[in-house]
Amino acid sequence: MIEKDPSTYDPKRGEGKFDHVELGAQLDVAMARKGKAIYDLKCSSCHKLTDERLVGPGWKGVSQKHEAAWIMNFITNPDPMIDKDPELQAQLEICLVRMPNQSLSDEDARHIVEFMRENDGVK
Amino acid sequence: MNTRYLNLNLAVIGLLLLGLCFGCKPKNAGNAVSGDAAQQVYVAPGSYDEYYNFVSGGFSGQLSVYGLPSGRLLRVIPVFSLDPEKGWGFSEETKPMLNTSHGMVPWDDLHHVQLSKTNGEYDGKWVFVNGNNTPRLARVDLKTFRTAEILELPNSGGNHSSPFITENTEYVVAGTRFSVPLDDQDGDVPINTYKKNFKGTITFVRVDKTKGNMDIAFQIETPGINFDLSRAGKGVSHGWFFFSCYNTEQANTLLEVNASKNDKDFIMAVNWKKAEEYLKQGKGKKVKANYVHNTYNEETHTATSETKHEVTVLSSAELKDLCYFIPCPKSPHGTDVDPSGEYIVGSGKLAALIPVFSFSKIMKAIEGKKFEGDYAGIPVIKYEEALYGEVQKPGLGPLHTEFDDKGNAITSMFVSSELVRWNVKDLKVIDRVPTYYSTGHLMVLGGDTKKPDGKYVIAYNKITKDRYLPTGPELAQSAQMFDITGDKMKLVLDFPTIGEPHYAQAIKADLVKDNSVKTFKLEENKNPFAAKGEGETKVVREGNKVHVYMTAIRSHLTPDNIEGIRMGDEVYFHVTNLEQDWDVPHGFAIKGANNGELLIMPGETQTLKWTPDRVGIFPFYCTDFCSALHQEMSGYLRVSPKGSNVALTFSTGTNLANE
Repeated sequence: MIEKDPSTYDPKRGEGKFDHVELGAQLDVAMARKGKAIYDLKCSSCHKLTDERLVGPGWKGVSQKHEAAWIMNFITNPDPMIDKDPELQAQLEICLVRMPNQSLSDEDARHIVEFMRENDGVK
Repeated sequence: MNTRYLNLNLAVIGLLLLGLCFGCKPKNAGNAVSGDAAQQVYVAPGSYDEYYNFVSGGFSGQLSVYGLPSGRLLRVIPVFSLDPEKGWGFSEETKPMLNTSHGMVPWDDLHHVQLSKTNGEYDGKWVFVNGNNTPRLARVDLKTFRTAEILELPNSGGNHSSPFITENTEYVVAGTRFSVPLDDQDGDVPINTYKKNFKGTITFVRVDKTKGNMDIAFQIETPGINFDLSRAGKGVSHGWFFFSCYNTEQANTLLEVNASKNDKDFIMAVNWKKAEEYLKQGKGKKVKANYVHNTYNEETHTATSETKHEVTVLSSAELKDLCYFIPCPKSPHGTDVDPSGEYIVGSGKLAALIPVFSFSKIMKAIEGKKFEGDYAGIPVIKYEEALYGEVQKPGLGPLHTEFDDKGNAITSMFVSSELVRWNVKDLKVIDRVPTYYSTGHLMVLGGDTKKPDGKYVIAYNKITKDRYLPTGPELAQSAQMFDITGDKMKLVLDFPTIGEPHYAQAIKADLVKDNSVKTFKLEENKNPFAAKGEGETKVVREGNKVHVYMTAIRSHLTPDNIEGIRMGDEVYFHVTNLEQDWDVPHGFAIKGANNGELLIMPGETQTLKWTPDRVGIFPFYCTDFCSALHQEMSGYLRVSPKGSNVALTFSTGTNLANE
């Protein structure tokens, strides 16, 4: 469903097909490994794994800062979210490049979140 | 009333008055357009056209794509000619596509367009086109709108009567325009031994049903004459092919006069089902030949060129029931088959009438051996025995005929500059409309299929003169679209075209647009030089060859600082576009490159070869405006003298200022 009215935008969940994502207490190592492979192919050009900004912000801490659903919605549905999300609008003013849609599947997005959790110290 | 609306209303009334005034004046080229024409062809901003129109680019060697009814140019697909804009023929990956037995040929003359068919209707898979000069066929894939394959034709002196196809795309044909000594014969003969030494060939090229790949099935050797155009039979005449022939005089000089002497030339009817039988019976002769077959692979993003050495030839003189000649007045050009397949229309360029032949009569004539004799061993059917009837006084210089959805034909008249509509059954002229000027080919939507759409006819004109603002001695070619839904053909649109358009075809956009590829998947990129992610970028030296594995993403190139290149090196930039979003190509150019740029689609890898010609610093950059920081998408390459000991290094973001 496409929400046209910005007042209905939920900044915690973002906008897209994901509502609530079940995360394990422990890291799913296989999923994180797949997430790393996607990161190397499609994300590493612009995002470091530290907190240093390259083109976009570094990934350190991102999995603690945002709900998994928000991250997965953003990376699979970037353009509508950049238009509405207050934090993404602020980021755009700093980075000036809209994060591209990298055609991630739902699974890809979930694997990326697991890799972000690993990067943030989840064992 | 709001004043703004009042002004608008006044403007509308003014326009109406203007329209009325024009209506009083005698008709001329400027105002022979009815009032609702604009509405008919107007496609609102953001809306799609209803049809794709594939229009030959003539001597540009390319294929253009227009939207109809708007006449908006959507794309120019490079086929036979170099296109530095798209890197076509300049990137290492595309260079093999233009390879021929003559080496790399950077240009051709693209004449005719054929959409692939299933059951005699367009299926939206491929477009076939011919190269007239260095005889070739090409196939454009409608998933990518790119040239997927080019096949050279041996034993041919110029491929004109091509690339016409059978009703299920079983075959694409190619008939030589110029007869020549065959490739395996000694061609070092006096030109005036034409009658003895020169031969014609008709090539039947098989098309793979699912992949579209072309492969020469057989050639038919014919006497030395000129083959002009051709059409496949359909419906009742499926299994036969019709070729127009001129220069049955077999002249080898001043053809303008010497090939126009005979009252009648021929349409050659070819029974290709019979040819298949002969082939199975081993009646074909294996003949040495030398031709190339080039294919583009969308997984490796790379073309390969393969040389072939043999074709199978069937002899038209020795094998009975294979070919028949039908006399046709005065140098026939178009030979066109109506939607039912029963009627074959011959357009004699110099004839004052249009003969219409009947397929069932031709079959009876063959059965009853109603021949007037033979020509070089091929039976010639008596004219009256093949003729259904003649269209009297159609106009001057009939060239081509297409068909509408109401049982009518429309023929283009080159000399009298008009389109003439006539009924196929009673052969009476119904309507004629002037064109501006000298129409060559024409096209009805679906006009060569079993079910024409019959909405519009487009005239592709050879002479433009005063149709557009003057642009010096050379003008864009003019196309004119007429609404043919009513009794009178109505001019609704002029639009300029590239090169010199010959034939064109149009297909419902719905059959094509949803299959259009948006990006290539990075995961499926099998180019051996792909860098799948920045982690795979590197610079590798192999002797004097340096391979740069580079990535591009909004908005930086990696690596963007390269040192250790030396004079005498050949540098290969293998650039992978890491984007996976629609409509985000990146370009790549480097100063002094004596070839084109690269234009790399999302997920694709393309390679530019570059040879430094001097010591110094060379900037390179992305040429396709990709983001707000596009101007920053650049880098430097350092060239040192031969034998220099500057180390080979490459980086992005780390080689910071030294000061």
